[in-house]
Amino acid sequence: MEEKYMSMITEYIDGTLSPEREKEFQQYVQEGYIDMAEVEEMAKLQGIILSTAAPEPSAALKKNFYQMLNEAQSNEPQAKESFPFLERISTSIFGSFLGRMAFGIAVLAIGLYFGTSLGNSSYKEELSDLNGQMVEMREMMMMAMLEKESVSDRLKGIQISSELSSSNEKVINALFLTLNSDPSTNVRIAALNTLAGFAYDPKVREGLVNSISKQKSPLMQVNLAELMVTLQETKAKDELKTILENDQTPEEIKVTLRASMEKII
Amino acid sequence: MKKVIITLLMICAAIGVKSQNMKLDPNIKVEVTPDLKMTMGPDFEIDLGAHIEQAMSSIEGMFGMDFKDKDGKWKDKYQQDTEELEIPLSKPGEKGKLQVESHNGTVKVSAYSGPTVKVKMIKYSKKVERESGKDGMRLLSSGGFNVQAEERNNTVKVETEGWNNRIDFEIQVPANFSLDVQTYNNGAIEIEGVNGEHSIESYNGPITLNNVGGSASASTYNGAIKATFNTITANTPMIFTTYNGDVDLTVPSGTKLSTKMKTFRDIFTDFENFALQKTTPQKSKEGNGYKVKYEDWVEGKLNGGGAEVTMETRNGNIYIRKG
Repeated sequence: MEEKYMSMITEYIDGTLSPEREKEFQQYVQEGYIDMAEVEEMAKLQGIILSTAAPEPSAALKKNFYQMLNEAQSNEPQAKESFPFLERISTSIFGSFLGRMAFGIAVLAIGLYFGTSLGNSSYKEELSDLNGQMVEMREMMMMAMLEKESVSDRLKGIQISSELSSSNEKVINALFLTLNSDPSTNVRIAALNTLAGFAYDPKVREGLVNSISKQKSPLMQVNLAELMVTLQETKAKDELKTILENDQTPEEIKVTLRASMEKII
Repeated sequence: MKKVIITLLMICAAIGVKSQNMKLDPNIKVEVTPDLKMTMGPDFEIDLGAHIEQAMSSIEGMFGMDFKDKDGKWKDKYQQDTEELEIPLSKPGEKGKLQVESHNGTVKVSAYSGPTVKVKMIKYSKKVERESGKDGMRLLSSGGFNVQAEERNNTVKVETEGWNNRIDFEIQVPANFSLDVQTYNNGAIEIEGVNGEHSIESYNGPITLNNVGGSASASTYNGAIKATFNTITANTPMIFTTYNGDVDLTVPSGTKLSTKMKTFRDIFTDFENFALQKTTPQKSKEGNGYKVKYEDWVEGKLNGGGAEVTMETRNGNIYIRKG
């Protein structure tokens, strides 16, 4: 049946058809567009729906409902008791305004922490990487400078080394090589001054003590002896004795060295 | 490449002594016996033995470095011979380097306008004797000189061997020359007007650099270090160290330097723009009982600071002067 007849039919069943539409409706029926039997069938169905009243809940049902609710309620605590800890936390956190605020701040702090630490880690790695490369480059530069023919270049090399850390074994070894074998007294003195700054390191102290007998220049011998007095390094006494026993050592140097030895207690 | 090796081996013979050198003071009679026992007059006696260099240096210390008035008597015991030598350069007019190594005697290097290196050697040796001494012996020959000079690729090397006979050098070089001079006893070094990178070392003797240019490292034990610069190569570290004597540095007024100084005495300057800095904090590790003090270093910046200049002495003052 077509749509336009459908609305007419429902109006007809409801009895709301206007006289003009009533006429039209009758005409459609006569012309056979609307099957009257069908209309009656529909009217009948609607009538049943309308006439069927909503079922009234029985008293038993009402009673049963509360009983069931009670039963359900009595079951609930059991389920809750399996997470009493979580329950307590949630009530303590969300129970008060302060708790909620603290929770918010905590989340923010944790977020910030992870955000910064994770976000910066690559940047920091790069920086330390770069730092390591710089140290390596400085080391290489220092070694290259210490081998140059020019005295001022070798002095520059020592200056670079004094800016590097004492825990760097390569640097210390290069400085000791210079201290013990550089042809220029002043370059050796510069190496000594730098190494003296690292003398808190037992290895450096040992190297300095061993260097005493390797020095032929009186100025170096005297400077080393004075450093040994400052450090109060008793092991240096034997090394100083070898210089004193050497015939080539000038008498005035022997006098100065003996005075230094007496100051090492 | 041009290579010149001139080896001079000169043994002073007993014969051929110049008569003008024979002015022996009748009051002082010197006898040198083969066991190196020198007797000076009836009142005192010096046993030279193994310490001949020491004794000579102390004589030098008493009389000063130049052989003039008082020193004349000492000089009379020695005869003096002068030898001159001219060493051509393989690349005349270009920068060069002079290396001098001497154990006994002064070295003076000055710039001149010529293209070669001129070396003047003044040799001192004990006077040989015509008359026999108390024991009937007379000195026929004393020691020997071995001087070696070599030029290679504009680097001139002058070396002496032996310690007992003194040779003083007076060397003239072109103005753009780097100097590497090492002396030991009687080792006063004087440099005049040479531009380059200088490395100067002595043991007994002052070091004087006059109107030099470039940079320098100077070190001695007994003697002052005095350096006057016309120009200073920027960003080049320098170092001046002695034990007994002043360190006296004069630089052009606009020079930028960072100084690191150490002395048991005083430090002076006439620069207004000189800022003293706090010294490097002392490093200490008390846990192991180690402690290193840095308190004796005085650091300062001249005209805002620049290359590091180290000045160290023990018994002497430090001066930084405006040139």
